[in-house]
Amino acid sequence: MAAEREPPPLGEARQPELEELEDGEDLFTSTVSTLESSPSSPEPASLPTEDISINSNGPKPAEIILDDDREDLFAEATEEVSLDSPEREPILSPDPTPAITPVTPTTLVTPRMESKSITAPVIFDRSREEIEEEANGDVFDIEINVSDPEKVGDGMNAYMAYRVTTKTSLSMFHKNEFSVKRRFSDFLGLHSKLATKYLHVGYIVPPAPEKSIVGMTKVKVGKEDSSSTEFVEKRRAALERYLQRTVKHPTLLQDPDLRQFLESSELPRAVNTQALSGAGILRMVNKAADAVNKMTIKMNESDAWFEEKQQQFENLDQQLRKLHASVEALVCHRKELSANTAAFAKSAAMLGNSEDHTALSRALSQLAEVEEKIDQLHQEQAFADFYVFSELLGDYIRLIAAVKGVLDHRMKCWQKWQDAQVTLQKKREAEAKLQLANKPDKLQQAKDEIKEWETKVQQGERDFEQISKTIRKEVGRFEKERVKDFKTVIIKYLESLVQTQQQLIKYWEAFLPEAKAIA
Amino acid sequence: MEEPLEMPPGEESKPCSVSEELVTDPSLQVEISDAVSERDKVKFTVQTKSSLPHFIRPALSVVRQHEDFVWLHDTFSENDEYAGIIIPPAPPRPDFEASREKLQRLGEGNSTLTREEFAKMKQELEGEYLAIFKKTVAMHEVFLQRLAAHPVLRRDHNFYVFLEYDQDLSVRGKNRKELLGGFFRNIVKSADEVLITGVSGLKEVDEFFEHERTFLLEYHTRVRDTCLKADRAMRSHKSLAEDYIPISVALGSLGTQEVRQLQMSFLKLAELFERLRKLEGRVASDEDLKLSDLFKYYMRDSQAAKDLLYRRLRALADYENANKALDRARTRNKEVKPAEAHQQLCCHRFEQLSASAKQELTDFKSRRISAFRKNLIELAELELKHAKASSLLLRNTLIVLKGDA
Repeated sequence: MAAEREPPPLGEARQPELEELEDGEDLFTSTVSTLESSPSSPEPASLPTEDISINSNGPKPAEIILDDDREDLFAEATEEVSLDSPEREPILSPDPTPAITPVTPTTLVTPRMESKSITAPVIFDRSREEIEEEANGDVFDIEINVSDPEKVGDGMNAYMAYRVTTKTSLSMFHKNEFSVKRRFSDFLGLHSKLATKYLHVGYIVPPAPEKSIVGMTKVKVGKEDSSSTEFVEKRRAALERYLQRTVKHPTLLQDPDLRQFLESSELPRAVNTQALSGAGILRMVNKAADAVNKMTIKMNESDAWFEEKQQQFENLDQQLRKLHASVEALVCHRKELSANTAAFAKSAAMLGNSEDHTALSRALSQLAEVEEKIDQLHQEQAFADFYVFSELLGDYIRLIAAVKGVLDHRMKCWQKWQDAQVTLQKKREAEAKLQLANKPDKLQQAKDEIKEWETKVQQGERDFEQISKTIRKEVGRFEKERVKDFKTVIIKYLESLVQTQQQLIKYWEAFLPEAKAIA
Repeated sequence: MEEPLEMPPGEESKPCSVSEELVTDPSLQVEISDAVSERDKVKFTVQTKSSLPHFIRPALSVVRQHEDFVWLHDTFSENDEYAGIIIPPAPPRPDFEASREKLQRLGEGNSTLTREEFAKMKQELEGEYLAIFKKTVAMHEVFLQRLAAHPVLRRDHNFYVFLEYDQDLSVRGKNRKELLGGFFRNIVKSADEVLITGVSGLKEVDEFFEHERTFLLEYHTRVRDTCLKADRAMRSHKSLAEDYIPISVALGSLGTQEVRQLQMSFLKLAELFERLRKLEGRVASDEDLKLSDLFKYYMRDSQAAKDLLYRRLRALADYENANKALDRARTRNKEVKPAEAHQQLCCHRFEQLSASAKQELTDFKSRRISAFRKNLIELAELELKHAKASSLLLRNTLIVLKGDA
């Protein structure tokens, strides 16, 4: 499919980079073959290991740069890295550049190869749009339901199994309709895999629902009360929303792990998702380390777009949190109102019974009935308050955390690149020194190291540009989705409120003649 | 429709409508035309218009405090002449404590509130304060009006003093001894009642009173419970309305900062919640006035009716005892005359009480029925009005938002 999409007039692209384009062409054909052959995605997975090794070597930039060498550093840098070169500018600044996967919907292309596409976005833009249009009928035709929570096992080893049903006409799946049984840790495992593969290259991976030790323990212990059924329902709905968001993401939809999750009847247990496992603790340590690092990274943001977005998401996060807290209070009070209304209804019924005037007695009983129905209404409204409004806000608060995470990854990527440049400089200095000292054997090693670091610097720049590109696109898609989501939810919520009021009108209209009948 | 913020002269916005027939008698019209809250005292301006010969001037105006009302009530309930009458229950003490506390806590600089939220909460609480104020005025007014409407009670000397004496009545509040005394009196009274009806075998000959007694005992308990539950429901409703404030404010600030496509939605929502809050608040206060207050009043009134029954039973017991004493005197043939006189007196008193009580209880019933009817109808009408307004508001907002999508 890649071949036929390859537009012939490559020469129409930017002239100076023509020679690079040819390289790109080759790379793409090789990409296609690797894609078709590999069912899983090994390439992105290799990056993390690379990351780690570099980080451990990466020297802290500040102390080492010597004043007299500064000019040299930048002179050399412009040759290799050309960060702010004028040719690059127009490429980096336009809004969501879609040049990630120019040719196929399957987006398993690694960042390394993507860098070539930067040079000819115009062409691929066009083709990408065409593909999107054609694929629109195909890509989003998938519906996921999470249902039938079932308790499996006993005591502390018990767990809830949920049925995950997929209905789709997409060809990548073996059937059009199928369902599997999954437990909560399976979902966490899926998220963990997707996050590891895609987060650090700039994809906004929807976060999985949160763990709750208290909630789960109650369920395990077997308390069949309303709070544990509520907990299970809350979780079921959250899992459903999680999967629906994940499959809406065109890149993630292609992921084989996701496919396996939806399709295969047996799934290997994801033990690393347990909070107190070795992996869990490692995650916590890494999170802490990340937090510290973030504070020390001072990035020279050359792109105002990113700075703006950072600020925007920061604000949005704060606002949503505030709103979320207020809505949670609303839910709580509405539930209280419902309980108090029910108590009042009972009391009014008793009062009606003890009233000796017949008509008044009947009217009071009717009042009690109305209040009982209103109590039901309040309960339903509280339900809507929560599941429609409050949970959406909660989801978006977590999603924005994922966006911020992705922006942080970009910063780390930039840091890595800067560190590589510093190391390169040091190696060059070392080489210069060796030249003076005239140690031929060590000199060769130094030259090799320089070569190695030059590559790393190039790679760092490419990675950085790639992640920036991916993020732009992702954020664009995210915002579009968000606007749609919010609008839909707001309308749904308001409709629930209207429904409540309409019912109230009905009930009181029925009651009024009863009150008037008191003689 | 905003409730008028100043003191209404007692027409459409009169919140407490627990008694029907009070407004029309022109020979003696009493109303509270003004009230002022000073620190923890409320001063009521009582205006009387009368064509009765007793009054010096056709129109009078005095200033009274809550303690004066309580004093007046006590003079009635302690007066044996009125034993056969249901004494209108004294108005409850003006209680701004809760409201004042809330206002204070708000003012104490709760830094988590934005300026907008603070202003709205303050407005809400001030409205609440005003509502409580209006209610207490209405309660005091109804008390006086019932007295003025009662053919016997309106002629009471103390009542005239209350209405006319233009100086301060200087009724001191009950001191501890008196309060304690009152407390014990109540206990003795209930114990007495039980003794009378239970052990001494006092037979209730009159079916009417037997029925009334059973009815009132149960009714009073039930209405007290319903009053409590209605109050709780009303307070939940108020909290709910108050919750809309921070939501509206948060939506508003989201609206101003959001991306263009969502701005309108959020701003519209913010406006919606602000208006819904006002509507929900009105629903809550209407429920308060039409239900909670109604139940509260009849809780007190049914207690007053129970007191009447007790007094009658006491009179019956006295009559029975006088009978026994007479028999004893006759058998011993000593002091027959005084015993006879005493017995006659007791008999007369008992019969008078019974007749009066019968009338009073019948009036109580019809009063209760018409008050409930009025309030339930008004409640239903108000609920409908608010629900329709909310529904319209919501539907309009939906139209705008759907059009924007």
